[in-house]
Amino acid sequence: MRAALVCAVLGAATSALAYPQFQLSTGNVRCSQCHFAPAGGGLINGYGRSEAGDTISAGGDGRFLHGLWEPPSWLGLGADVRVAGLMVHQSQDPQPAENHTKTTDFEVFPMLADLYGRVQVAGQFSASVTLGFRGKTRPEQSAAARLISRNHYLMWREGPTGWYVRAGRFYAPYGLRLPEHTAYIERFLGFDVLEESYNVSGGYVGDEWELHLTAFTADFIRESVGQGGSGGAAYFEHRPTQALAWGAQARVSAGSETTRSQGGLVGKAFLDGPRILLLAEADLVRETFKDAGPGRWQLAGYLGAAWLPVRGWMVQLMLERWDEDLARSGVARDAIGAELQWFPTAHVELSLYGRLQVIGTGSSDGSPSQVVLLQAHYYL
Amino acid sequence: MRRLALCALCALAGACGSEPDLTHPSWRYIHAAIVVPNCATSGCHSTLSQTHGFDLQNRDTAYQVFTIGYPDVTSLLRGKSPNDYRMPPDQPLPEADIELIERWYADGAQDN
Repeated sequence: MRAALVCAVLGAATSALAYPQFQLSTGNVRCSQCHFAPAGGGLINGYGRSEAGDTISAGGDGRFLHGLWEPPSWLGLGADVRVAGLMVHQSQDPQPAENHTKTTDFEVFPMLADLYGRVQVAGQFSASVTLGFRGKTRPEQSAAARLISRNHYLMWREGPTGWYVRAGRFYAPYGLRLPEHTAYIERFLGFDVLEESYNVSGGYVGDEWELHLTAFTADFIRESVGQGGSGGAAYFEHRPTQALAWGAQARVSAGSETTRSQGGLVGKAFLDGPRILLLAEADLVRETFKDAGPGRWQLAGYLGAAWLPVRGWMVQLMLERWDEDLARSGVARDAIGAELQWFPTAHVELSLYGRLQVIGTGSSDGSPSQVVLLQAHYYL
Repeated sequence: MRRLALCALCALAGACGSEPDLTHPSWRYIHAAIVVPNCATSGCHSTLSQTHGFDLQNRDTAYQVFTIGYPDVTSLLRGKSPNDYRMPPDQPLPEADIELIERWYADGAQDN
């Protein structure tokens, strides 16, 4: 059971350093103010490192190697390590009710170990790469076979704001882009761990709005994960004020067995008085099958509140919904989550995350499942 | 514009108003609608990971697992297997999906 547990929850291991909770709440309106990537995520830039020490954490020096050595301006480097302790508790055998049994398992394991590199050449051109090891794999596989690059791309970018084009492997910009890949809007919408696609993407990033258009195809170099397929994605975000943003997204992907068309809306609002950031996303999905029966409509929803009472602390509450088929009863999932995050100093994060799911909502035998995750995160 | 809105409403009503006919689900449907999104994830039974040697992303190899490797897979999905596993461990399947798989077994577990 332990191996199964770890293998399953490696799904929570993700490309680090993506925190939409810090958008608007730190006074920064664009994700790309702190990240090299135009849509955020991945390696943070010099300004992001200073924000990590001066605004987000309780203090410290956020620079690479804590400022012991400063790489030249054309070179960006970083590393990321996450270790987790996990407890899963679930009822088994949902029917009949009198025969319910319960299991609890606990495991400590490495979630993530990635190295980041970025080289800027000729002013507006750059190359970025992320290298790490996949966690759980066939035992006969060598270390080289386990080596994986979640992101690698070439980019031309006009400047901190303006137009850009990039090509390579990354997640096509879509929706909230949460770091927790167990979130339904990530796991079930094509953004689970290692579902990064190969893309040609372009768009515009400004202070008031941004647009990202992407043509993608599943990993064709190694075996793709999930539904696979090819298609296109679009994400638009408008920020009418420095504390408010709304977005709209669409994505179509055609795989060998299914075609999925999905679209949705995103909202972000920072309440300055209580220092609470509200995050919301809702997506409707139409999935059709090739010679395999009726298609289905699906719904994914996320509502979160992030409270940042003082520097170095963040408390989050999340409500989630995933209905895999709106026409069938008893197949929806609901989850409520809470997370306490402490950033005692730049480079360090400790978090305690709990999630209660009810699986099969709408039926008489909904089965609960609880996860508690204690996580230590260090980035260089 | 009004016609477009009416079409959208009709489409939604049609989608939400009635149960789809899944009285005899095919293996293609079971695999694409249930197995791939729930079991073939990156850390588990994707072609890339093949934990315990099980590739459930590929329809043919998944069929072998469901019919030869684990012909009583519904016990595993309900946590009633002899070793107390419940699969998937982090995201158990809704009972309604397990019943669909049982119906497919009852129909002869064909590779259809």
